[in-house]
Amino acid sequence: MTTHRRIGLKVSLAFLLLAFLLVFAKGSVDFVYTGF
Amino acid sequence: VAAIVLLSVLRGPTRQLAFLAINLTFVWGLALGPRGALATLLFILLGYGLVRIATRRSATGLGIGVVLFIAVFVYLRRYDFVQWILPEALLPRIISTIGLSFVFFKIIHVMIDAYADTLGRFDLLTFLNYCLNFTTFLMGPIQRYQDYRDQWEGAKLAIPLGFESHLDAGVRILLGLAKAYVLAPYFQTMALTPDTDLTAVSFPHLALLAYAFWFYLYLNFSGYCDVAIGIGSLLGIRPPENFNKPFLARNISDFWLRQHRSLTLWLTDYVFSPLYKKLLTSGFTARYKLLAANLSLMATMLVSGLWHGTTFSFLLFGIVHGLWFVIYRTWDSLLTRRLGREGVQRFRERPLVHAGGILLTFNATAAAFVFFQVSSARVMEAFTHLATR
Repeated sequence: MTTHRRIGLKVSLAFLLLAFLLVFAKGSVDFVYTGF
Repeated sequence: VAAIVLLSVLRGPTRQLAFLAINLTFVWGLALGPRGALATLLFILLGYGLVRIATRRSATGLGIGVVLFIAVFVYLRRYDFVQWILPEALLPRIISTIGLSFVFFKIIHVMIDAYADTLGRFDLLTFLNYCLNFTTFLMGPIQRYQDYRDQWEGAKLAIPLGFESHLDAGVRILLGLAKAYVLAPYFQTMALTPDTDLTAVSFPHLALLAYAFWFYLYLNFSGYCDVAIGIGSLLGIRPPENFNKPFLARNISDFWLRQHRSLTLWLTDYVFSPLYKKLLTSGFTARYKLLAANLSLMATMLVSGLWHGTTFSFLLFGIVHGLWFVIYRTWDSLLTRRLGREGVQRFRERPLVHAGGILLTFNATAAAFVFFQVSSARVMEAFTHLATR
């Protein structure tokens, strides 16, 4: 895979993840390990 | 974003001071509040003094320092047994100690390395930022001082210079957020809670609750670590990796090298190895290598359990993991005696043995997580129920 193609895929993945987060993310989350 | 810009533009002591201001703002304003932040800062400054003493390379100095530091940590964290020993008036006021366990292990490591003369250059500002580094303050990964300092000073690159590695760090942050804020809460709704009544659920139901908790914990914690590593990479102080597909672990030893790896390596270097060496060179245990290994593993897992939490159930969590290690080590030793090293290797490579190992390890670790998540009161209730049945 060429560098340009790989970077293009990663940028697309970043936008997909961002959209996924904007739609589905919970407002606040408890982090298990902060209890320690 | 402010931290990334400031750290890339500033140089020298100004860069250190700017990062310290960012870290203190985070710890004070977002994590602990004024009293918790002050207590943590005093704890770190005590650690700094003890590291300075350790650099004089006196075994007595190091011993007293480590014991004193452990005592202060146990006191501040209000371990259950401290509340049984000390009267109420002598107990510390309830303050937020989030992140203190991670700071504690970081400082113990610096003290011991200072004593062993393997620490290298050491100064107050780097040490303060190392302990308070906002990317790893709350939940790790536990970075070593030398690794942090070398990256901070530019002697070691956090990530290769170039667009793609920075893009990877950004994608990693988004992936971590998706794990922690979308996927983990999905499993949380089906998982064990501190108040799960162990006497009221059937065994298959308990297994499902434990599996869901296992995935919840993994997604929650590894998601956080992805964000910490991603931000750290962009800041130029990338922390170490903490997870490597723990659900594919083939045995308990493999599991702890894949799950919370930075903690495992810390425990190996500062608890298991010194204890194992000591047992191999002294008295009765010197003649029995397997016994020495098993005792050291159990002690290491007890420390791990007590580090994870202040209550009885965390002690049980440690004991259960210690027990899994003892069983695995003994089995491995017996197998090696029977088949030889190469025979064991061939045995492990069989697909069925491989798959069986993964299944067994997954279930064993899920069972141990019951003690990790369910409150001590509920665990005691379950034991009483079992005893009176």
